[in-house]
Amino acid sequence: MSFEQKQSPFWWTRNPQTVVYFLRELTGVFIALYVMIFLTLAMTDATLNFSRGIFFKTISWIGLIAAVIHTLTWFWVTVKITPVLLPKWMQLFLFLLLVVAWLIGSYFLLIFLYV
Amino acid sequence: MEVFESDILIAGGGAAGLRAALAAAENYPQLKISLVSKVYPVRSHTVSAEGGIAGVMRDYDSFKQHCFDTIRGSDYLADQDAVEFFVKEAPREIIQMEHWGCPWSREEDGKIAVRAFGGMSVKRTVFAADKTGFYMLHTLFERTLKYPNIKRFDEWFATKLLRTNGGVTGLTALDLRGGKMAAFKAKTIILATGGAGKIYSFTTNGNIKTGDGMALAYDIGVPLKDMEFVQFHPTGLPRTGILITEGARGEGGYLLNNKGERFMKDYLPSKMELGPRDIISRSIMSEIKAGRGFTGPYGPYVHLDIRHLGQKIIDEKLPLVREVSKDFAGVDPVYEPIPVTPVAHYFMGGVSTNLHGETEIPGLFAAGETACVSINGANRLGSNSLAECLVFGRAAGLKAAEYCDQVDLPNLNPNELEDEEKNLDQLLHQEGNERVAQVREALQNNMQEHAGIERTGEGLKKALENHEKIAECFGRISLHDHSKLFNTEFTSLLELKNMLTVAESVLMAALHRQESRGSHLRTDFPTRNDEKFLKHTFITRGASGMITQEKPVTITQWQPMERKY
Amino acid sequence: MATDGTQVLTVQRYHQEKSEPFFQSYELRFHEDLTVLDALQQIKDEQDGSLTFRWSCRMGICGSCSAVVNGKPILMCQTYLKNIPSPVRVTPLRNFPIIKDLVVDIDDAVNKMSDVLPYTDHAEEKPLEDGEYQQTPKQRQKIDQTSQCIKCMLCYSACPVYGLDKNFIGPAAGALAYRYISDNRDESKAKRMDALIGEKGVWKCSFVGECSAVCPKRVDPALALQRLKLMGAGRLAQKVLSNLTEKSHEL
Repeated sequence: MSFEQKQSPFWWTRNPQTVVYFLRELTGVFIALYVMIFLTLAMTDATLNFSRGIFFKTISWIGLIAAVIHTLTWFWVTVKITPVLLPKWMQLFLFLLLVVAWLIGSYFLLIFLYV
Repeated sequence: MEVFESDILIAGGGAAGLRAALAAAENYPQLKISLVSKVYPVRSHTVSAEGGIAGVMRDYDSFKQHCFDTIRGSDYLADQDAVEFFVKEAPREIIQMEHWGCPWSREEDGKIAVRAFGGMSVKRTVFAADKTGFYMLHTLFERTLKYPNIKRFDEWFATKLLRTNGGVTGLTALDLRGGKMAAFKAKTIILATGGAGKIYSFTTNGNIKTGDGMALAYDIGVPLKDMEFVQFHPTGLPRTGILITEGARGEGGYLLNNKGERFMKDYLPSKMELGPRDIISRSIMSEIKAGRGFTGPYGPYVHLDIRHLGQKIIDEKLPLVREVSKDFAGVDPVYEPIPVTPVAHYFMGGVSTNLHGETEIPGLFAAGETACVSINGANRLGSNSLAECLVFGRAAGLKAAEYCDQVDLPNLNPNELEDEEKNLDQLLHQEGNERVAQVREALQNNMQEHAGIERTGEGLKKALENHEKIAECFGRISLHDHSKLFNTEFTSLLELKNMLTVAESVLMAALHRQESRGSHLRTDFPTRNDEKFLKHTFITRGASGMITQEKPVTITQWQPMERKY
Repeated sequence: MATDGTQVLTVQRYHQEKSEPFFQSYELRFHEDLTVLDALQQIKDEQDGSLTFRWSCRMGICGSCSAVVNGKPILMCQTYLKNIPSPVRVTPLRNFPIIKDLVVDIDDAVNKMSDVLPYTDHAEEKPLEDGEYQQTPKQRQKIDQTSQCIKCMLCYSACPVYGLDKNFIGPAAGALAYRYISDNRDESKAKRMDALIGEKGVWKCSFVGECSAVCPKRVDPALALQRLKLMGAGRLAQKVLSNLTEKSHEL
């Protein structure tokens, strides 16, 4: 008779990386929340007047922060799972490269879509 | 007691065992095949083979050349009919492995690549980076999953072979995870349990290589052949004995003494680092003796330098060398030379078989390092052993399958089974003041000291005396763990019993052979003596201990001559 | 801890006759070159013969000596005591039933590897006399990483999804499937893909990435699983389409 091991419900606290993983997954909830609120409000108010209100501003900030955390942690994971283990400085370099590419991409999106 | 029935029972899940299982399963789907192994097959020691597998793969190479290299390497003790069969079959097996998906390293055009190896006159060693054995073992194992007629018994420890006068009938084994003994009834049994490097204290071999198959076969009267020939690999890491592949030299690595000289120029200028293993190991020992070695906390060593190959080639062709050097010697071979020293590696001898793997007992077969066909004679060439596992694994599998047609499933003697159960139970509860580890260590040290690279008659006699005392201690070993379930202390006791048998046979055979040939160097008889000793040594179980006999060597085309390079 | 001396090692024990797992501490002779595996052997040889663990090659290639040390799944033969902060605590692999002390039953994972049909099949087998199938170094490169798996099962121990749901095919089996699917010589990809996109298949992976983090051979099963998801989606779409066209023919 062997002993069945049960996985602890707090397994994700064992390791700082999995805590980060869960935080990242959690940011998805806030991003989704932002999108849903925006869509619901936009459906009822085509002039987007609500976007000047303090409520929507708060929601937007939360959404933005969540999206930034999500993106950055994702980039960090990406440089960690390369087929060959990269030295720390190269990981950092790749990470910065991704961030720069992201910022440039966002800038052009902003220019062409909104401004 | 549970009894399992099978047509073919294979003991051992390494390259030879798996190849035998596949040969039988593929060609005879109606046969019931049981694969009994004391570890999961992928843990078998084939996994640690690194350098490659030899076979005639190129136009510049020839059948005759590979035969001659093998025979010259064996110091003319190999049976030449077996060598011819082996050399003919080896390329076929390499291609078969490729068809099964083994990721051999490739040339730019997509053909299988070859590298140089010690004692081979041309490049003929096929490889998969420097994890050849690992890739082969996993390919073979994964292939067995395709055949439903192969039933695996993982982590079952074989304790005894059963026979009648008519032939082999089965074996008893301990189910480690179930904690029970069971019996296997089989028409044929193939032993593929590997070598016995663990009888030495300093060895490349893993923990599982305790000569179980050799001892089991000896116990039921099968002779062991050429047991005095133990190969010492020139390049093992100090302390752990972990293997650094010959492929490192095949790719162009240098052996250096403490003056930074490639000292092989003084011993074997025509071949330098690519000589056969026995000669290189002896050369390293004499460098060390002459004070030209390095001294370290774990004994003297020389340097293996592959820095000039550059990081790209090292990472591509020798990644494991880099990995283990970093992990186990704290040295990165891209920037520093690797400390190496000769280490016990391989048993040329083993259970005596013909070239179909048949032993003297009908229905009992052996293949791989356990067996001695013999193609390796007094010294094996690097990269012949993986090919040997495949060629003779397949041969044994096919022959065993054929044999199944001729016999009925035998009956087991219930009394014998009961006796074995009692015997095991008695060992489990045996009382005394000795511990397994102490006795094992005594055995290993005794072998290392007296039956190493250099041997003398006096030393061997002393070793046999010591051995007798050690064997007595065995009867006084008591265990801490008396449980039946996964009792690894108990299995190490059973392994120790097997090691005692194998070690004694090595000592007996080494004492008998009063000459120096291949890996067997008797400083009191420093030359080869074909007149008296161009013979195989056979060790058989007699009423009062081991009996030593001689049998002639089969010579076909290559007359023995001086072994010159 | 650079000097020799003694050190305490705590091991989780389980002997079925003593019911629940418990911890036991041993004092051992420490030196610089001692691995966790060496330490356990020292204990077994000198103090407690009943301490049970698997090991063989002691060079990180046979995959026997997996365990969890201070919370991290590792191969004990490669892990030096000097590199681990004290106190050192050795526990068996997670997510598998414990048989005895550090020995766990990995049959479930082995069977899952069997489920992905890990062998090359050719539509028509070429006779051996005709030689090898061609594979350029570049094509071989594609299977290089995933074929490094030594089946040590550290990834199953690290995978929280497998921890919750034993139906999940798991990291190493996924990597193994990917190894054969990405082999240019294999011609049975569809069959294998179908084994992976079923209920037990790759979809359950939520890309925690722990499997790749603990892999001692850097196989990166997480990456293999993500790639399989992509291929699996393609395969599903293909199946739906072929079903649709069949239906429309019937109409």
